[in-house]
Amino acid sequence: MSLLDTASLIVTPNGYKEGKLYSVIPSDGSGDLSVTRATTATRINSASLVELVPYNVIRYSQEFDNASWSYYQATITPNVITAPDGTMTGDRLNQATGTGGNVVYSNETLSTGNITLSAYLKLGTGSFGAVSLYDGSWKNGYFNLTTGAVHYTDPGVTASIQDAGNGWWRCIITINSVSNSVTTNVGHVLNTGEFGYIWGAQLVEGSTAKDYQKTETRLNIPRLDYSNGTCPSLLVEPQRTNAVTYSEFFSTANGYNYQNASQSGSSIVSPSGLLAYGITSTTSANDFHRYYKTLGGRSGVNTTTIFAKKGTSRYLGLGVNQNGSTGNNNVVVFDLQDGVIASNTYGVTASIENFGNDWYRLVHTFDYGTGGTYADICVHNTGTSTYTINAFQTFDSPSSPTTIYVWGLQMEVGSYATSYIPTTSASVTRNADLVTKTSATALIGQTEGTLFVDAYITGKDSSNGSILFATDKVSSGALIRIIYTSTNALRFDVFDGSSFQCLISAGAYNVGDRVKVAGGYKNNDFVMYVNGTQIGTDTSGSVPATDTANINTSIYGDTNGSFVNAAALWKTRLTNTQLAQLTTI
Amino acid sequence: MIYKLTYTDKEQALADLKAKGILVEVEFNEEKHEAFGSGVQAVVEIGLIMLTPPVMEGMEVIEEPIYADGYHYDIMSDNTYDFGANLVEPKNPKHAFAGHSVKEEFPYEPQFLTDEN
Repeated sequence: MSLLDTASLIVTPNGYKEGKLYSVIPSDGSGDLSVTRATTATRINSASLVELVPYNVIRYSQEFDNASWSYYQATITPNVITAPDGTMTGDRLNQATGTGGNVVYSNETLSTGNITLSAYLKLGTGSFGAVSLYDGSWKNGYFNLTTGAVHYTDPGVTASIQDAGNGWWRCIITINSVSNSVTTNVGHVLNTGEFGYIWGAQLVEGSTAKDYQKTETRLNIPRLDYSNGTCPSLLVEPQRTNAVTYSEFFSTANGYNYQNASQSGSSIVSPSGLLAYGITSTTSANDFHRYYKTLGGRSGVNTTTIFAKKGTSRYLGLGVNQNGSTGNNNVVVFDLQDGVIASNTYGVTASIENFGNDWYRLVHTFDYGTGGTYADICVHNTGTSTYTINAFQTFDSPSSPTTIYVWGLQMEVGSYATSYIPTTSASVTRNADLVTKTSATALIGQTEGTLFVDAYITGKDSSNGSILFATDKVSSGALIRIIYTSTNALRFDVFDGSSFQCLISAGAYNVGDRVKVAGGYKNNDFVMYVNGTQIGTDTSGSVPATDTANINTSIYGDTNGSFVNAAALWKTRLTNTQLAQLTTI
Repeated sequence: MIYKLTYTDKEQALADLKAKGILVEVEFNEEKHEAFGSGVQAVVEIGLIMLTPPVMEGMEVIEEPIYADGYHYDIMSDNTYDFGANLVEPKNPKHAFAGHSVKEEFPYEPQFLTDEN
């Protein structure tokens, strides 16, 4: 029997569904963690692309009797036929009051540009299937479900149909949407008394239908993120808001201002697999070549990020300012060819992260102090690293028009960047990820035990540090946890509700470090191991009872972030030899 | 449930959110900090809402920005609250939660296939 076989709880980024992360041990469901975020989010998928979680924008995508759907001249009889996935979840759509178009419909929000709607339809007693989108005008596609052919499309609609077996057809339309809010239609063209079958509606960004992804609320899906390699980590983050509207569409119509530069057409693939725009300098004068966006007032520490790729220029300057003031000297110039900071005259906290395919995410952190009434984000096509700074301004003299490519602008309150939050006409908040197992007394050692976590460290906000894994109890205030502290140490501590019974802390670990940390506890016998090495012991203290296991949070309400590869509990204090073995990288 | 709220200023907003248990004070090891109350998923400080950005020449402000009245918060919670006159329903919200609708829905007037198509 291996050491892992003796654990009372093991959680890895493996099986999941909306609102739930399945435990590996126990495997009977008694160790499954609940996942709550109440918003969608993004992740890096296995193809290294930024992706919405879930990418299917439609809610309750195969439950057309759910209240999120509305009905036009139709009623639904749910779960009456075998669906394309073999489950008895296919619905019957019945003609109700009128003829010629009998559908379910919903309103959805997503970016302008190419979008693709698909649905599985099967002939009942009618003739044609209908799949349509409204973005200010109707864009219809009609499908012959007898022959498996596209029957008719409105102008601006690209349609296709795929055989899904057993009489089901996947009917697909793509339009170039001009609205951030669209209405979807899925259904059949029916006469009096007729019916057809429907299942699996999906709306995605881009011109590819993508594999069908079942959804319910869409809001509480664990994020399996591939930022750190070919094996996924569970990405957990605090609440953050992207204050920048139209974060991917930098046009003047969307409130962006250009100086001696213009927006180039979308011509290359963005980090999300869609299209990105360029900034092209329009003069050779020694002056700004930039765009900027004005936001409402900011205060405290804010982190600004943008994805960028070299074009004919390899240098991008990123800076922020407040109230048009000249007092905020903070432009950082990034080299998009070598992936380094080319110039950071003012010592700003900044970094550059390689996202593949020559894309980089540029990070710039600035303290607005007590704040102002408005703020600007400035993105400069500096053309060269040997630029001239006039106060906070970045000038250069390109010999000819040059271009850089940009995508995904974000400004968030906080000292470090979190995952990208797309926006359209409004700022957008992604809530904190809460991954919790309540009523877990049977899984947690009450008088002795071991906590273990394998994670990549992300940032932490200054005061609270970042909890990696914890058990706690609301009624007593007791807490046993592994935390990345505000001073960059790793700490194992045990708190009985009024005082620390154990506090072992050491090391200086950096964002991006992978750490395997274990804390063993027993009355007057506490120990902490990190990456195979004993960090410290404590021979005085008692063990409080706890009943809840948490990734990323505790009863004290402090939520932070990390990439978790595994978390585990034992109901015994493992031996030092076992702890060393467990934590060896 | 999502609540969109407008207050006279930040102080008034915080006082109301604390009075309703949306923000609570938590003490850990004799240090106090603010946390969300039970059932609260998010508290978002939107602050001032800029209706018209400043007009600038270079970085010189020619015209100051124009703001909507009040200081704004968005709340997401499982609980039901009575915010009275502080609760607003903007037609073009300046803030949204990811995955939740930003705008009002279109009026639904479908146009279907005709015999001529």
